[in-house]
Amino acid sequence: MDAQDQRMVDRYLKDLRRELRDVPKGQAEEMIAEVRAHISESLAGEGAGDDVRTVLDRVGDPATIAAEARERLDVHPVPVGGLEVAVLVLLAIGGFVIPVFGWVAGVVLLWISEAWSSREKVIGTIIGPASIFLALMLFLFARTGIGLAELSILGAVLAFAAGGAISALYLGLRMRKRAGHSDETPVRRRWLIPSIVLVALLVVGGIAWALSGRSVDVPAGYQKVGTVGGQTLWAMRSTHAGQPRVSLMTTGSMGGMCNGGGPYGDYRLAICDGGVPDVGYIIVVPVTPQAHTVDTKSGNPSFTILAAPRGWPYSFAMAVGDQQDLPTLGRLEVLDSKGQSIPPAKAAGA
Amino acid sequence: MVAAKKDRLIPQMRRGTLEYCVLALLRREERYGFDIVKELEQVEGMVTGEGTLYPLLARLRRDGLVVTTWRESPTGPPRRYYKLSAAGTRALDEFVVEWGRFRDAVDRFVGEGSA
Repeated sequence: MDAQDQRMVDRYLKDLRRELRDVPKGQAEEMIAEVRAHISESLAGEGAGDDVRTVLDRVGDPATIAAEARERLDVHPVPVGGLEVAVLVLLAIGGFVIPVFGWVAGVVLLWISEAWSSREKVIGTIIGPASIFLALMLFLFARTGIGLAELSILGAVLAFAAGGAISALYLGLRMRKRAGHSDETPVRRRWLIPSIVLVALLVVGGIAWALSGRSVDVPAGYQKVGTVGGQTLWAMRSTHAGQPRVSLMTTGSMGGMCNGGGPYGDYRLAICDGGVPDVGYIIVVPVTPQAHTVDTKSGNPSFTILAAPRGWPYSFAMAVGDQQDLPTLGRLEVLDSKGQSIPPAKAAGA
Repeated sequence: MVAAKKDRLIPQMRRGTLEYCVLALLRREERYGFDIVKELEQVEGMVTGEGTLYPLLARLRRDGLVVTTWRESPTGPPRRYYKLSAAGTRALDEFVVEWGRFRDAVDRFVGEGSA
């Protein structure tokens, strides 16, 4: 048997293995081994002399052998119905309709369904969280100058949308392969294409919603004063204990905004209290993970700069001040979104 | 319609009885797959597609009607030999009885000499 013959036999056995994919593995491998032995006996044994093509023809079409195997071994394709459609829809968009729980429900139903193997279920379960994780890692390592919080949340949402769509697509395709062997499922299979289309539409809708529905409602009195590091900065002038006061907040942080110098969620903002006539400019300082308090001369505004979470490449600590405060805060710098120092006049933003 | 029924009936009868033919082949001696196929092929129409016999052998083995052992081959790699198990012998004996009755019953109506 020359190399070309060997290739033909290998291809034949590969086809057979593919056709036998839904037959229990042990029996499938046993049959493949037996057919392989049969072929070599036919080619080498007494009375041999037939060419490979003739031998393979006599062994028969792999699909026929597989059909026989399914019948003899009682391998029945798993019926595909409403449960499976629900799994696909929930995994793809459930997390957007009912945050998190929709997706969890999809996973639960996935594990109840018998239409997928355990391996497929594990893959279908992992894809969603894994894509979020990947996206976050990417954003953390790619030190983009754009606001990290904004990117992270957007990235996570997009990754979750993509992950859901991918897992639904993957499971849909695996399911179709299984159903493809059955004579009884075509009626149910008709649901498959429409539901994939439906899921795709809902995913697109979900992404559009996620992108557009993120407009932040800023409390009354705040004005947009500029963007710092990709974050929109809002400020409000008020009076506090007889002193003029400027409150700052950023939008684009997790789920809303941060305000007023105290820790809110993962973010901490420095706020300048008293004596500031206007939002002159915004100072963005890269800080170490420890909190700093920079006290200026008595009577001058006090800037409290609090640390951003450890490991963040860019600090969200901010302060507002008047031009005249800068000399006393000599170590503070105004940085643009790329971390470059920029003159205070330009940093005034809006 | 009659023709269509006949087209299905004969292959189905052949299919249903093939496993007992295989068991019967193994009654006296153990055999390997290729050998079983060649033996069955001696009778026209018993085997359509040599490869389709292996699913049947896998089934018989799964159901414990045959057991297999590896034996050296004089010409090539070791061969898997199939041997009738006790359960296989029992199943075959039962079938032989049933088959005799069935064949006689059918012959009584359709066989030669029936009026």
